[in-house]
Amino acid sequence: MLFNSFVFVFFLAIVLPVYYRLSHAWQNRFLVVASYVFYGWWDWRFLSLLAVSTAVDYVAAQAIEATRSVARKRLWLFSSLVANLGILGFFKYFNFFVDSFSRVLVSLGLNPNPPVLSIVLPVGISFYTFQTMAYTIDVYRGQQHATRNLVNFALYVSYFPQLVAGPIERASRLLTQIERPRRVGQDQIASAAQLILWGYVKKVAIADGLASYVDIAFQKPMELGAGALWIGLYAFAIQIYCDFSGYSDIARGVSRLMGVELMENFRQPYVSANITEFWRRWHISLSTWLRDYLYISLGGNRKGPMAQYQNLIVTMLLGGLWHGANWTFVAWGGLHGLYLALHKLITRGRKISETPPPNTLRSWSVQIVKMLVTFHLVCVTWVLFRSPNMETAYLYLGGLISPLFPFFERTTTPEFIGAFWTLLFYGAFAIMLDLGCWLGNHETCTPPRMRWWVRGAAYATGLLILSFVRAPSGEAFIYFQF
Amino acid sequence: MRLSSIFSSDTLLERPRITRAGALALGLCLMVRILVAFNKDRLATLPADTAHYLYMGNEARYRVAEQRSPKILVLGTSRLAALNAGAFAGMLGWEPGEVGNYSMIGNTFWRSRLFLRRNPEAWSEARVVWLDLVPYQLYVCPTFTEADDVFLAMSTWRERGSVRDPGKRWLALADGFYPAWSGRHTVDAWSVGVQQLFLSEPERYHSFHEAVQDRHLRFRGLGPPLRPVAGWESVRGYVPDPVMSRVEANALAELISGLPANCTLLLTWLPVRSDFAEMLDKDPRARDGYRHFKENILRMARPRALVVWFEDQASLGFADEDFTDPVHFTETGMAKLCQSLAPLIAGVCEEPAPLLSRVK
Repeated sequence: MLFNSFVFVFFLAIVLPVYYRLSHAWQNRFLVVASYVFYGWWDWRFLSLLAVSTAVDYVAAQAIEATRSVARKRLWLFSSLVANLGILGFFKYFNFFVDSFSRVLVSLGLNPNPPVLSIVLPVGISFYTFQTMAYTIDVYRGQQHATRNLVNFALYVSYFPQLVAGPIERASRLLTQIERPRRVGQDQIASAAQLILWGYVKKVAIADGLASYVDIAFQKPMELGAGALWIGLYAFAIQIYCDFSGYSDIARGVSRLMGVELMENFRQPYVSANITEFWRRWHISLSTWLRDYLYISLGGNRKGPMAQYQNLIVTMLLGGLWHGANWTFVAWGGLHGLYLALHKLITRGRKISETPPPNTLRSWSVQIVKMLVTFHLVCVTWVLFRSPNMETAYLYLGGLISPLFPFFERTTTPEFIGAFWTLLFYGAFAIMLDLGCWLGNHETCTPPRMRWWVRGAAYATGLLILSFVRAPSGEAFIYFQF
Repeated sequence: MRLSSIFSSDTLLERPRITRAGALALGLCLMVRILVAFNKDRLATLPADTAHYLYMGNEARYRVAEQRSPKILVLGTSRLAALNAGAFAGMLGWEPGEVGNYSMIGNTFWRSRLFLRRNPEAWSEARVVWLDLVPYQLYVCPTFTEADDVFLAMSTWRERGSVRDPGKRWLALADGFYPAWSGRHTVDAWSVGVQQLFLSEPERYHSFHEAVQDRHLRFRGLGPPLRPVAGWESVRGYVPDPVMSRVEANALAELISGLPANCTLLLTWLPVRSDFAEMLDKDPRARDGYRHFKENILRMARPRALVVWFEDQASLGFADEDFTDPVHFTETGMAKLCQSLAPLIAGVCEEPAPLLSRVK
């Protein structure tokens, strides 16, 4: 079930009134059923995976907590990781590894005939697998108590607002809220409505509005001039941000209507002045997960600078692979790892904090240059992220700087003139929104307090965009494929 | 706790109320929506999607034409779109403007009816209104009509109520009250629409006509050549399962009953390439769909339409070389078709409304 579908609107219109009528214990039972309906709407067969993942980590966490033997704790943790990563590996990476292995054999002159399975990737498998793994690891580390209530744990794994594309929650936040009775007041409803509205504007209008141009640009980059390729790239940078952060906003808003606060997943990433700051603002739930469960487990910065750089690159390589079974994602992660390592090298010994808005003309100029450099470094990696294969990525990157094409050649087609105006319209809208929040409060990035009529006009703009502007085609959320 | 209200809840601490900012936003939206509703005609040349673009492009072509009341009005599908109206008029010994060809890709009975409803003078002096026949025109077909964007934007309440699929019917009815679906356009289309908003109607259609000519790229992909016939799946867009569309059946009935005096509706099943004809004969699914279509057309068209069914094309001199794909004609094929039909059409113009169906 997609958030941007009428079915979801009907689903929510049924779930919320029933939810409000029930007692706390029944609310949780009801939400488990609702979440399974939400997930099963896509393909009911994969509900078994959700149930298996729930059962494995429920049992493993209980066993870890019950035993005093470190060896047994490790064994249970290992079992949980094998089960979770086994499911993830089979559904997501089987064909990728088989294909890559057979390519290696072919390059060695052999003629393998590997089995290729027709596997459907279950929606959101990477998200809920990481969430359940985090729980078991936290219990193993003694940072979280294992819950004895199976319904509560099942809801923690399957909670529908964040089930298929995050935010990847921690038990210390989500499970705690599930275990307690929840309260919803007028302020929460108003702020939830605000989040849902902006989320839909970002997804339905902005991201979907740019999608068709991005598709054209990445389909045959060799046939386009540099101007069209740059438009396509900027369009994708805004599309992926609005698509994913739009989803997160809707998820947080819907969850807030039920009295559950989900973590913030994006905090105006494109105002970042360096790449480290970017990763503190982009897909926060994943970057903190990778930091806490992978980077720190690898040794983090405890074994000297060289080990730290190596850990950063390995973490980001695996983070890239998490996004999809394709070498383009691995390269995307690796490049980000390299950026982070280089930034650490340059700023050794200095504390990197999130940049406050500057207060002089000179500092503004420096800040804008830093933001632009960071944004373009990120944009280069988006080419890898969006390209269907490495060949297309090379062609696209080459086309961006190729002197063979005059800049405007094969750019002034109706599609790309349309794309230019769409990009300008939405780009300006998104940038104003983000800059407004950043200038309002650079730490929390909440919008500045405005007079009621200014807020009213802003909401009206959002509603009018939703009501009058459509995308050339309806699109599923990009991150569902991960 | 009162069971009558969801607001008497342990979780929901207070009844949600709309804030001043929220009320202002909703009020503004309502105002704009009302403003748009009053300017619906001005926004007609602001199509929602490619199919809508095609329809309005065709209508704009008609609106900018010098002769707007032709003697022969052709409202065919893509199969007749290549017919050269001027040459055909010459073949009949008439002035070029006396034959008007407003055929378009994916034309159906409902779209023809819509064209004539919006442009009644188009058939006010016509002696013949000529439509070609393809089974998708009468069936519920995923590609055309029932609750597509043209339909949502321009259908009547009765038509909305007769959509077969309940979900689409509710969507069509809801969109009639509040055009949340058909009233939405891409940023690109709005930018064109806003520029046209203050033009007079003829200027608007002229401007749109030019824009459509400039933007012919948009139509790419909608009318691809039919792939070689390989079983029913390859032609299901042309011969879908025989599920009658009430919208289309009603539109055909209205076309017949609304015919002006002395005007004949000419419905023609045109020749097809031999592989397509063979498939219609041998594939059980296609054969059923085709037979069902033919029976229904002959039954419904009886009162005032002339049906010509080119069933044995070989005997009429059509060969596979006369087609660019299984259904579309080459220039030679089109010339042969015009030659075959010219005497008949000339005769009908002399002596209107012959009440017969004819199979060639």
